[in-house]
Amino acid sequence: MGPANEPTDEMLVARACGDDAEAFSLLYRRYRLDAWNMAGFLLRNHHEAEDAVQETFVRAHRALQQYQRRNNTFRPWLLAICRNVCFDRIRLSKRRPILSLSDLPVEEHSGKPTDHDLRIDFRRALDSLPLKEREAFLVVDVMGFRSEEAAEILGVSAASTLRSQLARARQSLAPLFADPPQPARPRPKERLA
Amino acid sequence: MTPLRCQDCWPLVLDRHRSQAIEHHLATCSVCAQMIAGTERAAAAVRDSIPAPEPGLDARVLAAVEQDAKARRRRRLSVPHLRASRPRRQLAALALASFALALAITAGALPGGRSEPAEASAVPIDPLTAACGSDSGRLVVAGTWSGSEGKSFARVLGRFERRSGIRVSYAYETHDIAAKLGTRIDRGCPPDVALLPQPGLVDELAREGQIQPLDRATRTLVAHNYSSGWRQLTEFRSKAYGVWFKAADKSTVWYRTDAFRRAGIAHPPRTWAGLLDDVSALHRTGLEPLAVGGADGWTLTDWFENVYLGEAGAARYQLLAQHRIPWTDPSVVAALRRLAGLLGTPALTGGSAESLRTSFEGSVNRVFGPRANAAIVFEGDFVRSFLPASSAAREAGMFPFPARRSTGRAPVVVGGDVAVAFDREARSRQLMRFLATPAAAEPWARHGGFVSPNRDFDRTAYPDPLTRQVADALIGARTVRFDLSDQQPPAFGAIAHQGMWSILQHFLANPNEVGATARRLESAASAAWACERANHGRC
Repeated sequence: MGPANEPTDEMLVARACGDDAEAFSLLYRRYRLDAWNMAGFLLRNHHEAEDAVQETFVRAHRALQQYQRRNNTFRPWLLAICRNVCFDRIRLSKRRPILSLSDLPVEEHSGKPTDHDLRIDFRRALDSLPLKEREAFLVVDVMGFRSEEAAEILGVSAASTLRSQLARARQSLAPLFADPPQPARPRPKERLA
Repeated sequence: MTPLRCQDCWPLVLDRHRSQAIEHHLATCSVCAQMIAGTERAAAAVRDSIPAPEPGLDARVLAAVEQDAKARRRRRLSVPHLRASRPRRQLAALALASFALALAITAGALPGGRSEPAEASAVPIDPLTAACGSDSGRLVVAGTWSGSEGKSFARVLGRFERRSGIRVSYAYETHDIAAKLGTRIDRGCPPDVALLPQPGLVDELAREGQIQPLDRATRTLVAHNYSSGWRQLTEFRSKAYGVWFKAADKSTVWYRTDAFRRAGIAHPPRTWAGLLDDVSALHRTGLEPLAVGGADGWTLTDWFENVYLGEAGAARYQLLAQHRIPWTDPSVVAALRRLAGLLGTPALTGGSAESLRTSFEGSVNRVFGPRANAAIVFEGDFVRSFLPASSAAREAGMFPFPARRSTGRAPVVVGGDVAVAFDREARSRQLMRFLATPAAAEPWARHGGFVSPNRDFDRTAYPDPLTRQVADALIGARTVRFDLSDQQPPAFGAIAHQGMWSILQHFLANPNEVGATARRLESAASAAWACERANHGRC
């Protein structure tokens, strides 16, 4: 069955509301990686992220009727739940440190910058961003949501606000990965003509 | 065609807009090309840093969803049977039976002298709902542990179930157990017993008359099994309300025993002055004495709390925790000054810039990792779980946070979970009594990640010597105070990039700004507490 014949999220939600476990299982498989990526990014610990993914889908399953009443798109709705779950866990475990997914020993050494240095600099740059900017970068650039959807997931009232946060995040992070400046390229002749 | 400016062009491209004007601008603009490529690579770097989920995750999640759905269906189908409507005669019979069982439980044997079955009966684990639902007939126990911790606690309850014959269910609330309990109390259906992560809640619930004082038998057990410091944390108007079950020691300092030997330090320091002497001796060996995980602001709050408790004493610590004295109090200024004397000395820490770049995990790695270059890291007992598999980690030792003065033992900053009973049912009292016994701690302690504050607990049950040492420090403490930042409104005490975390990071970078730091702390604390009071804890 090609993509055109696959049931939409709304169809699956309607079936899942009628206690169709298979329908919910399909929804889970569609969006499990989104939830995993968000939880992994926010919690930075794979045990915590696993618990968060589980709690996200349990909460979502319980709230399916509310989703139907909202008549909204499923993916942003689910990830808004996931974000709430992650923040609940962060708040709960705020005194318990969490192991980093990318365990980077922070040590200085001289010499030419390497990929390792770049990763360290990037991690520091990412961690130094305000939370809202980090989240905007995650949801739009890492996960590929449009800014309107991202605003809904992140509970930002206006997409323009989110775009401002996103721009600041990009301005902080992009230069770390940008190529060194190149000499200006000559314009193609046809353009000069 | 209106020409585009760079600041308009590259964001549009990244937002997947394309037009002729954009294409025209892109063809000639290296700035936009750099921003687009840089952003895409940064996003790819984040994606690469998140590993794939474990293969078993799908089955686990779908099973949890199914189990939750089944539990909800059961609740919908079962006959409503509110606990309040249970006939008094039935309660009396239950009380008699429970009383007869109590001795057997505390003695660690089943009625009739049978030994405990090896296989655990499954204690149901469900989220704690705001709605009352129907009465399953089980004793409902609420707590904050989910996931593997929830399962460990269910093992504890399973042992109680097997020994007492009382059926128990466990309901967890990971977000805001105080709010959920408040709702359940308002609706007349609190759980029978709850394990609370904050002693402040015990005071509040006791003041409102929502929880019951311990009965005489449990009081006797608690008096025997817990030090006075722990007992005082759950007393309200001279009555004992709680049984501490799980504890965390936030006053442990971890060090390399080989580094201490090389520096000629025979014993770990017991006083602040001794610590200063020892870090100087370590510095002379060429090692950086201290690794500070200042990139995680909470490590700095823990530093402050321990210094402040030693400096100001337990009574003043509690006043500050409740914001009944301002953060500009001279005692706070003195503690900040003391902290600056240690953490603000670059030779001892590698400098504030290095400390602010180092995460908690990084600080443990700097002492115990494969390329260790420091000798001491301060943090709670959970450091034990973060020791890497390295030769340096095999040299790990632990000593209690040094006392301010040479006389007496240092007070200890702790965290933990305390059990309280909402009703006077005999079976709730029985569970409380069980939780006060060493037998309750054993199933979790054996699996690791658990320390019992019960001084009667057999320390050989802990899986390793360091956990045993942590447990000894905890139960030996005369004065214990609960983690101060955990008693603050989250906006002030618990969130990165703001409040205490951020202000203390700024202080680490600018250790001369003692007075200004105190004023910043007071300003942020005042705002957070005002919001908390105005919004009933919903800030």
